[in-house]
Amino acid sequence: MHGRDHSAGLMSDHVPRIRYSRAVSVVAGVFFGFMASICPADVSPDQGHSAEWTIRALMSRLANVETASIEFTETKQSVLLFIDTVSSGQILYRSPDYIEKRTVSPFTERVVIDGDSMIIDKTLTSGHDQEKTVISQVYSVDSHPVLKASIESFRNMISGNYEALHNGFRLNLSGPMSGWNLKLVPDSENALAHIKEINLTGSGAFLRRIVTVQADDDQTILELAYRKLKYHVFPS
Amino acid sequence: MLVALAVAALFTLIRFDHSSDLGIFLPNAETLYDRLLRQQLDNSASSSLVLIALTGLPARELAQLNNRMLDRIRATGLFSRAVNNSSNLGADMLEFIERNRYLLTRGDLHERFSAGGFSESLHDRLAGLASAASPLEKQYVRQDPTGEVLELLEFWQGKVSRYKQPSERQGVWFSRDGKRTLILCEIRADVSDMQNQLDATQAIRNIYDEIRVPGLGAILSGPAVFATETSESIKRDGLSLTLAAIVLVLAFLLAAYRSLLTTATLALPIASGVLVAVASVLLLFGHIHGVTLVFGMTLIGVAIDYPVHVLSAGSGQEHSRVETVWRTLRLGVISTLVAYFAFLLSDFNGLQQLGVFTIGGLLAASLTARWILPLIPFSGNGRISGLPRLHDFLKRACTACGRFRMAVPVLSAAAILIMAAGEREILHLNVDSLSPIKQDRRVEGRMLRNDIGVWTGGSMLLITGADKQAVLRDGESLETALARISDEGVIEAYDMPSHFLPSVQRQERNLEALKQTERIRGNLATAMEGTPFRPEVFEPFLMEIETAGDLVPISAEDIENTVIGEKLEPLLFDFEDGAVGIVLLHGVADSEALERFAHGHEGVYYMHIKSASTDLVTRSVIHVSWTMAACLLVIYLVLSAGLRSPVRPFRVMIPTLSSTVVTACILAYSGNPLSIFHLIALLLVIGLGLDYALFFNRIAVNREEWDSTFRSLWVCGITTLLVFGILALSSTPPLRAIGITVVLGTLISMGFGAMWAAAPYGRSGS
Repeated sequence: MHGRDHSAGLMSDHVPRIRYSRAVSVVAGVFFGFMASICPADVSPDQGHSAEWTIRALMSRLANVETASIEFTETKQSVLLFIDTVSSGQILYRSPDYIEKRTVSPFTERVVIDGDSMIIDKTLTSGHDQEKTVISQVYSVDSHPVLKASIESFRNMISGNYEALHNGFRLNLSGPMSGWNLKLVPDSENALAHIKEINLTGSGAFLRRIVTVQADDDQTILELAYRKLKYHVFPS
Repeated sequence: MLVALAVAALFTLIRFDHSSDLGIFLPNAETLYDRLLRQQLDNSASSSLVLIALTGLPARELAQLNNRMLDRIRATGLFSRAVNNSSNLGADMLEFIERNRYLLTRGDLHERFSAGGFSESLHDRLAGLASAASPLEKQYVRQDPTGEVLELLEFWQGKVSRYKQPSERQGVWFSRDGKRTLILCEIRADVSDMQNQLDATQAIRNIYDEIRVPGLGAILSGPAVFATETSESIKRDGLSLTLAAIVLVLAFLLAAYRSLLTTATLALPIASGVLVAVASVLLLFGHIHGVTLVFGMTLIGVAIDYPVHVLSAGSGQEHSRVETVWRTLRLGVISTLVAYFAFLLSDFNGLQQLGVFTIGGLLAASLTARWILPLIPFSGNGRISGLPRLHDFLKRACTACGRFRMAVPVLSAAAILIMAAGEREILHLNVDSLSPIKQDRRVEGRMLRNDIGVWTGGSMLLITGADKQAVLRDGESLETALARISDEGVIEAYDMPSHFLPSVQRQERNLEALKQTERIRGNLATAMEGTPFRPEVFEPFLMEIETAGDLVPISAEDIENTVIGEKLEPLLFDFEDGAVGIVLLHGVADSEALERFAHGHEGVYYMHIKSASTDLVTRSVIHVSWTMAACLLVIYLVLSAGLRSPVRPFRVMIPTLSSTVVTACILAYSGNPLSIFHLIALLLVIGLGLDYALFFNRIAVNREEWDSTFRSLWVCGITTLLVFGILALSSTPPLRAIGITVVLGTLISMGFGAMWAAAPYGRSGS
């Protein structure tokens, strides 16, 4: 299940035994600091102190992640449907803004978010010979407000881009470091027309769950398990 | 002075036609197929396209500069469309598509609104809702369970052509390797007016200069840009090269004649020639092509020889000597005129104009030289007294040449053998050879078109019909067959008009399905059983179809000047009495299968632009060649009448034709396969060669006369070499081709003339 040396089993309960454990904790730190900075009560003037998460320190450490490989399970709850749709696969992240989401079950889909573009490759099987064709669609994230809000928030979180995140959302942090919760509420009317709020939960360095509540109360629940993490050789 | 003024005045009156430089050297099309080919070559559809690529910086900076440039381009108002990504459909268009989705759909609504159809659609909607694009899916699903809007958006929004989707970074188009970012614009104004092309190109250049930062590079491409560059380079060449030619020729003539007045007099026949040439073309055609003017001027450059020969006869008083020179000159002039007569008989509009231009010009120049020049009192001193050393050197060379008489037949036989047996391509019949655009610029243009996924030209099916609706209907009836050959691998993909707009007939059929609301309700309910969709989800759809029957079918005219209309226009247009639809074929693997396909369908033609146009050019060249052969026969008859012997013409024609053949062979084997322009220049070489040979063969009365004839010969030769040598320096391919050909041809003609000359006084007489 887990990668050997570089992997951190988040879904399992034991402490991740990875070589870069310090760096991993940095990731967690990023989120905590992030929340701390936006919740005045949590802001500590002593940013260097390890027990307190300050957003600047956290973000800069998060930004030290060079690549990450994450397993996900996504559950979509829609007012349109009686049942939830569940899908799973992997997310690959490469700093600063490359995200690839590969769904393997129950359908095959590859989404690449690189810079402003979102490319969706769908593999369709058709005909009697089950011939596979890949249909590739390219969206410019900037020109699709519907896609933009959710993609931007996810990307800015994972890349530790405080400025960008802060520009788009009001942020609210609660809970202890071992079980934190960050709530993002869009700033703009435009974004609010699509997304009501995004709730992120994590423990320590890791994002565990992202719940996106859309304007029509539909929810997407993304559950994450980090498998591999690599840091920049020379952390800034 | 007066003549110069008149010429200047005339020039300002000339309206330079833009009509594509390439087209005028193609034959007047006779069959519908040929006319369609011409239409496609002129390519009215893409002639207003301008492609811009920015390079040299990291992607992020390029993207910013791209957006800045795009904003400024839009602000000029000169462009009807300026885009740098695939999503600029616009709110209007989005609304139009949403409202008219059941008319624009490519599907059959009878089928889609059946229980089975709905069932399939709902399955697709579920997959969509689970996918990454689910927010988009959710936006339309309630009104549009069959997914018409998303299907249309995918079709309209993504692609410039349906075949390839350009890649995007930072929200703007980039080449696949990320090195170039791209902008596509369309000129708003009528591009058949050259000025509009110049203005648009200049505007883009100015904007580029404004946004320019260190390291940034740009490639501009597109017909308007090429036209601007060609016109600029012709203008630049025209000015500097003409100036250089004038200065050199004047300096040379001054050195040869040692008289300013004589040198000035020499210009008189040429000036009158140009005047009459322009006037006769304007009179007969009503307009003159810029290209005709440029080539025509170079072709009647041969007229500089006329006054040189006439003046060699001595002062105006010596009428008898003028008369004897004229007799020889007259033969040369008439033969040259016969050669150009070949142009008149060709079916190239451009060549016809060129024929009229040269015939009118040469007639006027020769008559001026004969009848007016001797009347001018100061023309008396026409002796060539300068450059004695050169004269002596050339005379020795000429005498030496005489020893190699047999070299003429041997070399020409060798040339013929080499060309007949060799592997080399002798004729360059590609349409590209007619284009004044440089090869590397064309390659760049193709690269950018490929980046954006604009159809790069090549293969198409043409559907002809009585009107646009008929063409759309015929196209729709071909869809199944096209899908089949696509499945079979004959082609990879195709774009056709009915993909962009269904025929009114199909729209009406779909409207009928839309009006059966009870059936729709029933079928949808059936299809929904067993799906996870909540029962009330599609209420908005069911509400909408109550009134959807009121929709009115959309015609091609209704969507003119919209984004959809613009995409449809090049694929569906009125042509002559009917209309034509174009199916763009991508990735053609088997053109024979396509020939058969077209053959099997009434009114459908398969066209591979490159080979079809090469065919067209080949046919034309063959036609011109035969006419030229016929003209040679006439020239022979003229010469035998003039020389009063059936044998003597060979003395003149053998060196002339030999030098033409050898010139052609050298050109072909030095990497210049002969284009139409080389052939035109070879015709000029024949004219010059005949002149030289005639004068080399003149029976001189005495040594002095031979001497003066020889002097005028080398003056003529060197003048020609100077003028065309300078033309060979031009950066415009056709001008360079003509320059090189004539320089080579003149040198060889002179040499062969000297070698083959029957009885030069200076040789046997001394």
